[in-house]
Amino acid sequence: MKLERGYFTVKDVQFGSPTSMREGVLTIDKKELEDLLLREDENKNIQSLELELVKPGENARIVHILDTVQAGVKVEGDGDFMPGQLSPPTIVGNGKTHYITNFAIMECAELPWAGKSSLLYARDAIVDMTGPAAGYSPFSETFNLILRMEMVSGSSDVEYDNSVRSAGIRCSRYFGEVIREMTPDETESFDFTREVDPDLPKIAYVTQCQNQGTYSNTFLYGHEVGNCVPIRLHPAEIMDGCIVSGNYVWPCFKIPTFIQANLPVVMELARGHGKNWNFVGVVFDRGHNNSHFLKQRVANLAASQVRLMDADGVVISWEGGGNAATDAMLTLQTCEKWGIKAVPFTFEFGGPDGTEGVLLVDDVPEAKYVVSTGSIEKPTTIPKVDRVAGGKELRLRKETGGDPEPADVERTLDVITPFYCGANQSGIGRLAGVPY
Amino acid sequence: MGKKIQIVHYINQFFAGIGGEEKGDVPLDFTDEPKGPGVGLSQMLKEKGEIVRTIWCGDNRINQNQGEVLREIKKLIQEKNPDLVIAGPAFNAGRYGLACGMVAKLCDEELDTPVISGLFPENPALEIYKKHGYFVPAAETAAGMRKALPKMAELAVRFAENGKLESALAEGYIPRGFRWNEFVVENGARRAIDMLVKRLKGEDPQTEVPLRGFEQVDPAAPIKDPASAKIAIVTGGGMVPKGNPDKLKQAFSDSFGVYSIEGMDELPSGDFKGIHGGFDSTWVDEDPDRVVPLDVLRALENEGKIGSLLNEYFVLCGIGTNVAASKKLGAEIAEQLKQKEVSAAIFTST
Amino acid sequence: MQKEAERAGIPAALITAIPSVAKSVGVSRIVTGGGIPYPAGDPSLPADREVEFRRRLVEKALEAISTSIESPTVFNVTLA
Repeated sequence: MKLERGYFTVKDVQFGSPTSMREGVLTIDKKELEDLLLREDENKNIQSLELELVKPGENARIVHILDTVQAGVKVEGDGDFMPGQLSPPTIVGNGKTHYITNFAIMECAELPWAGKSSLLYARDAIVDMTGPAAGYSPFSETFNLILRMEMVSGSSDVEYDNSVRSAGIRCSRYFGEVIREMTPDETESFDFTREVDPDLPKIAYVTQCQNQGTYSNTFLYGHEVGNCVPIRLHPAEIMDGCIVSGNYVWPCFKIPTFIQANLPVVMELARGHGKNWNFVGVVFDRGHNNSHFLKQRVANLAASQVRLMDADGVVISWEGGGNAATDAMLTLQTCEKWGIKAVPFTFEFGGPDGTEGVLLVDDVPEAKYVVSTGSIEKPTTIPKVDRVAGGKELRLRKETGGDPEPADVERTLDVITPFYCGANQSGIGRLAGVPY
Repeated sequence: MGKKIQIVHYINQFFAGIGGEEKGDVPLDFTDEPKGPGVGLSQMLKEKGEIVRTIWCGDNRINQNQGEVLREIKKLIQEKNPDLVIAGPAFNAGRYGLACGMVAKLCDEELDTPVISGLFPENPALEIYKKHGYFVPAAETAAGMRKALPKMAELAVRFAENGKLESALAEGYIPRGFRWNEFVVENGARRAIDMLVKRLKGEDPQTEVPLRGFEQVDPAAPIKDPASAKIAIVTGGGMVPKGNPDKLKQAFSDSFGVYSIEGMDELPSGDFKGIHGGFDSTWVDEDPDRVVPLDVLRALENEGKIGSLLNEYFVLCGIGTNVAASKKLGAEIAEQLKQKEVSAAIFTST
Repeated sequence: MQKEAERAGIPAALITAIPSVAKSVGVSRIVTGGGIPYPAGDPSLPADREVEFRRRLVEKALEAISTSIESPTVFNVTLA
């Protein structure tokens, strides 16, 4: 596979007409785009849609964030950026793709909490653009286009999920057309066809996603992966967006679509391929398997894929906060038993000062080299902000009534779970638990 | 900070030059100047600090008269009002290690004064006292004095310069058990790949997350015969009466619920609802007995296979519940089980 | 929680879908359950067979509670 990525970086974003990108300024025809997204929502689940802009450094908070998508377009080569989403499931990874690096499209909506499942509903997610919580999310540094949506009542979770995702995808493609013919500010090429020095260590990457039902799903080439067995993917396929997220259940852990197309371990390994190591491939699978047997089965199959790639070492990411730790740890264990060195990411518990007992949900004795993505049991006081985008109120604690509370006021949250990507295990963040 | 910090040094009878094991009962004493290893330490402090008092006590004496001796030590330290207290180093000495630990705890809890010390990483005193002081890793015996003292001095100098000490890895002391979130320089991906590459080179990089073992509890004695036992149901699966009347949390529990199952042959769907935030409750909502096996236990009770079923069940959501809270809630539930004369319990969890 | 009951002298058995976690936590009497969303059930079975499965789990839990054990032990059931 050979992929050339063309990057556009915006200096500013504004509403205006017509939609265009000129000298780093992205101008967006608000009405045109709003009308388009509403018109194309064929099942009419979106009652209203308003666009908002939030910029880095603003004294602003974004709430009700569901998925976040990147603007991208395949300029040469088979398939679309984010294949299988409103498009055929064509295998991607070759040719040339254009992206805007620092512009994020955020689907924001208060999805109904009327669904009965105790897990499967969109817990409110926060991004603070400045202040003590800004560092929890990579999106405090991007220009964010908020798709602020209100949904009709009486529809089903599956339909709401489809509608919000489709709006985000369509929006991405709208901007994709803007940058299709333009010359990128910067390009980066990845050539996986060249011979690699056989003395370089072979490194693989396992990315274990979350897929527990509607609102917590991940899509591979356009379909959710409830029954998936671990599959080998090429890094270039991932860069072209073959993994799309529909996971809104636990904000701090989720890996939104924008990051799925830019997984930091994939990018780092790809950049060092042929120089520092031989990046032999990616294994994609799903955690939260329902029994020990099923967890062990997926773990073994994933490790087997890693072994089939002849890897010497593997980095393991997992998405989620609970029993998926076991699937990931078992994957690590099987790899280590086969002589493949594994390094996983994990968030921590530990209580407010880190001394309280257990740090991890689960571990295996072989997990001796672990990277921390921070403890989620730390309180954060978020300040009063001038402006809230995506909504007006925060919905916290569905299980005790879920009454809405004002989103702009100062408040102390005693865990990190509501912060978007706050402790996610893709390795994108700089939050870590440090021993004192 | 500029000024020379004032230090009080605690040592034992051996390092005070009085004698070895046989002098372990000597009483507390002091002198207002450096003594024993403090002499070398003073030179290493390089004008940033001075030892203004050295206190020593026999190792046996302090261990056997903790309350009294520590009260005296407290007074002796308070008189000098130091910026810092140094204890030991005690290497792998048992009683001396404990003594240094006690001094650390005293200064931490009652004098708000930091303590720097040195212990062999496997000295049992460390587990007990490590969070009260800053212990540099030292060798097993006093042969390691030449390496331990400079490390302790360095820490003291940095404390003098900065007014505080940074993380364990940055400063070189044994992690005290605290963990704080920080935004570090490199993102997780870089750090993970770095760690892996080092391993592939045959190196032994430092893990960022130590595996902590769980406390083992001795299993309770078994019951003789279920047919005469009173059984209770406890669930971490979050099955509560519809509406969650006691507002139990879906995660990070800080309370539990107790609900009547008097006269019930099963937990009826609709009247009870799963609220656990970590798994899809669809199946247990459909049939709550899938997480609170009341139907089967009631049948067993009717058949005389168990003596009786407690007329209530206990519930919380076992997810993200830290160990301390689990212990506290678990202990409270166990207390209630005892009061209600329950012989044995069946727990369910996800 | 199960450990606290044991600590207070009340033997307890835990029905769970992930015995490995229970074992490493130090729970002493463990019965392998149906699945994470249905620890004492198995919706893939017809209703009456599922109740039979649940009965076996509970009976195995009672057996565990009546057995003297030294260290974390996992008990399994079958529908044979």
